[in-house]
Amino acid sequence: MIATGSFLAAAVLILLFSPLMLTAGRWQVRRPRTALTLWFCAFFAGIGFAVTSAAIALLGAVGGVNPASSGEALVLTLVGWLSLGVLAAVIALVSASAEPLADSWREAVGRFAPVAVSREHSHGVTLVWFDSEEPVACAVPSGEPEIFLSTALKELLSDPQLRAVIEHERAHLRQHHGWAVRIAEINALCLPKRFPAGRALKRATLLLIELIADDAAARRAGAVHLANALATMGHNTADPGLELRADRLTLRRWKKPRSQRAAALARA
Amino acid sequence: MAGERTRERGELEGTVMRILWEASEPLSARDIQAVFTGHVPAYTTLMTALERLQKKGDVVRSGDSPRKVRFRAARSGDEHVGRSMMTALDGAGDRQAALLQFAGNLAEEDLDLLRGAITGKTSRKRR
Repeated sequence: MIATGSFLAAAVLILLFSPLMLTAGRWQVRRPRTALTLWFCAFFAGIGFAVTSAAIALLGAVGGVNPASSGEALVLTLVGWLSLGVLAAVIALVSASAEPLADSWREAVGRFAPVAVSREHSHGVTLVWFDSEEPVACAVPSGEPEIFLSTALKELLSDPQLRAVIEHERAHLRQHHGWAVRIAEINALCLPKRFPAGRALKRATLLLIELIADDAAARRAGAVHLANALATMGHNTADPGLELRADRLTLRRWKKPRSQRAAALARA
Repeated sequence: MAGERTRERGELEGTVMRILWEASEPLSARDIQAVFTGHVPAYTTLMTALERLQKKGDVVRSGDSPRKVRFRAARSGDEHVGRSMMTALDGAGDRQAALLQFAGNLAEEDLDLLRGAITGKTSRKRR
């Protein structure tokens, strides 16, 4: 019974205190990858502790553990069946919330497909161009990953800037950020709103994956090109987040992008 | 990044647009605020969202004095959705799981966090 209580207490402590610890200070802006890793370590550790606690309680309820007294046997039985009930409720909630998300995905992709004007394959990803007056780029994670780009984006940005935007979206697909967002979405739907951990994980995920993808794109296509693309799009769309992301890139020293380093080596 | 009072920016703007589309006449920010159920955004947050929508051309502002300022949707909901893919995406709050957009995913608190990190680092560099 002590083991059940300990694992449950550890899960509750993670649920309550991990958002406070992981959002303290501004270090996550400089180290987004570390921050996202810690968030998901805390998430999976919390799930692990809760499941272990429930498993031990269930084991006690079905006779796998010898209770010291009849009182302890009664408590173990009650906690065991209660844990099973909670587990069933969580599974039902996850199934119920995952389906609307899947529908939402199908609907969103369905809205894009009819307006595609051209498709081209590039390094394992299909670039789908669609006609729009607004500069839009987004990655669609699926069995055949696609990056949707609007014609307005092509007109607005230079070729190196456009490549930086594509590298940003490619980083989302390569690093499976779609799964991170889905897990965070389902977690936010399952946890009661009084616990900030649900929304905090979702918000942190949405911010950190953008910063991680920015860093990956800056390394591959050049920080200057990505910062200029962000600033241009920020100016065009009145989105202050884009200009802030551009400013963030200018605060750090970047090596030359891989393509330029390879070209320099070839010349040497 | 912490806080329960969070609402993704796209989600707030989407809700405001839906309220304006359903309204038969222009609404003040207070009128819009009164329609919200559950989590009601702060007045200043709502005004920031309305100003951003106005800059994008999605909302038209009328009235001169602060008490008489009213907002209406620049286009009907159908026209708006048909106009661009971006707007269609903004119209639904839970599509972030499906589409990883280059822009528009950050909440106000995240913008503050970025601002703080940038100004903090800049001021340290100057010293």
